[in-house]
Amino acid sequence: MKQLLQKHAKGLKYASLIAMLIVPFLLYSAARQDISWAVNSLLGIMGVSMLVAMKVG
Amino acid sequence: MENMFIIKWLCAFSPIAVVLVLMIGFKWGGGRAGAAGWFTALIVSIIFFGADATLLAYAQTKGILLAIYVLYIVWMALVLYNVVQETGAIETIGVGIKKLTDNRALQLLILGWVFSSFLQGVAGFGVPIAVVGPLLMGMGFSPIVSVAVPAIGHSWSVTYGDMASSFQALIAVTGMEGLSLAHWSSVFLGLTTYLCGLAVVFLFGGIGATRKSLPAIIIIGTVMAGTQYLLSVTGLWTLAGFVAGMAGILAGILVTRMPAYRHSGSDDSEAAKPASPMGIGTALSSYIFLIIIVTPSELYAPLHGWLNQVKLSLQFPEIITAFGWKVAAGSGKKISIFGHPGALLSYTAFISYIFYATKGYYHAGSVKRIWAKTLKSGVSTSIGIISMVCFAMIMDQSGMTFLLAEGVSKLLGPVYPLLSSAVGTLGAFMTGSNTNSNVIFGMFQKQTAELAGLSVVVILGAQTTGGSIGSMLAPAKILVGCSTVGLAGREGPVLAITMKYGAIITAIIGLVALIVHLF
Repeated sequence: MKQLLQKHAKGLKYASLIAMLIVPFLLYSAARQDISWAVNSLLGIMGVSMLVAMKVG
Repeated sequence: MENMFIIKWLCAFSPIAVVLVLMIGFKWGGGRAGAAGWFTALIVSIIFFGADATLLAYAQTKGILLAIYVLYIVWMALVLYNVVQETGAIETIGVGIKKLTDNRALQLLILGWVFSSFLQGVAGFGVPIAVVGPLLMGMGFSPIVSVAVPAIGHSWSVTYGDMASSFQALIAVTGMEGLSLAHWSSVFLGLTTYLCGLAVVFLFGGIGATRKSLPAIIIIGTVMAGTQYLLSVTGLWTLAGFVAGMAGILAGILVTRMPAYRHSGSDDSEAAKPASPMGIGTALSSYIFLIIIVTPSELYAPLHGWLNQVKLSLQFPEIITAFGWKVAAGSGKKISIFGHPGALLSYTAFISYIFYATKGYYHAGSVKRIWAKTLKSGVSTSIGIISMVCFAMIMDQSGMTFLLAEGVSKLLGPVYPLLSSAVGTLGAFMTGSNTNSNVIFGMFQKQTAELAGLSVVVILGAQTTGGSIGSMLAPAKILVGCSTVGLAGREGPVLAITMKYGAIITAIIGLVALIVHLF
């Protein structure tokens, strides 16, 4: 797992950044429309982005 | 009940503690530490502060708007720096400053204290550190000094910088008259001017250099602090930061003519070097373009209005946590697409590129190199800033930040003025912004002062001064500076330095606020 992360560190960093920039706006839309499952899923994606940032950021 | 409050307070503090321990103790980069702080804030807010998914969702959106506001400047400042650096202009500027004076401490003062303050006056957030850091690097200062010095040097000018946006936020949120706030805000900030100048030199050369630089610090500091005071108390606070910086630059040039600081010609190594193919005027062109573009864009109302027509803006509903903490409805941070300081930096970068290209200062592949260098620094920095701001918003929206301030004031009672500036510093540390600190804590500080029978204007003056000082130790801003000098991912040592000086200056301001109340 560690080797995989190191091999793809640059790509994962870029993906993490893009997710951090886009997901909050999707969260806004989901929250405004009261779609709970979407809010929870998107918060999960945000969490994964942060996790990736902790590993390769 | 008291024990529960203490437990909640410690829990509220835990995300900050996690970030500090990881960055300073374990030398983690801002991106990794910010992400760890985000997870901590998320867990604490859900378990102890009643945050639900909806609140967290809106907190992330408010956070990303704040982050984009900052990142717009970061990326464009990186582009500008790389556009200039590719031509060799940075090295030429360094040689030019050395010719004004070969006194290294005075070089630091002129660039790291005076010029960075001017840039804060005209451009605002993050720009001074991002622009001056590389200039100092080019003059041979170490990367850590190159970031720490402008971070400390510019921090006195943040409240009245960028058209006094932080000061205007304080007026708006407290409902106080600007003229009633101006005196004490300017007095505290004026004192901070001298302290920042002293800190800049002491950091570099210790007590010996500080003693030798004292006349320069007193002269330049008096000009800048005095100009800022006069403009703010006469109602012209929107010009106070910018004009004070300009006056400081003129005073700085005159000081270099003093016998004690005049270039001695003793630096034979510089005299032996062949003259640069680029003149100092050409090397400084980008920064002259910056002044030419920013000044009318900020000060000429029709142009300012025209540039700021198109804004990204989102509306948020009222949110209440499970424990009754209410977040009022309102709009998030508005981002002006064409009038933002980042946009002004991008115009400067574009014009600078055209200017240097027509003069033949670029080699083949320059655009690719500029973009590659920008990407390399920008991505890590962006991740750090987003994670920091998003975790700060979780803390703010769930009531954690307010609880922290409440605990501090409960502990101190009548000696609360001693920590009034620290509350402002805390807010700026958390959000990277004097403006946000004033927005978050302005009303709280006013109400605390009223309840405790303290002077509201003195407490609010200390609040905005603390928020201004907080700019030197906000991780988000340190990330900005480190990214431009090749220290991305190694912000810990810089933060350790700025935290030390920031804490000392904040404590002095708090002490003065207490003395004012006692006498």
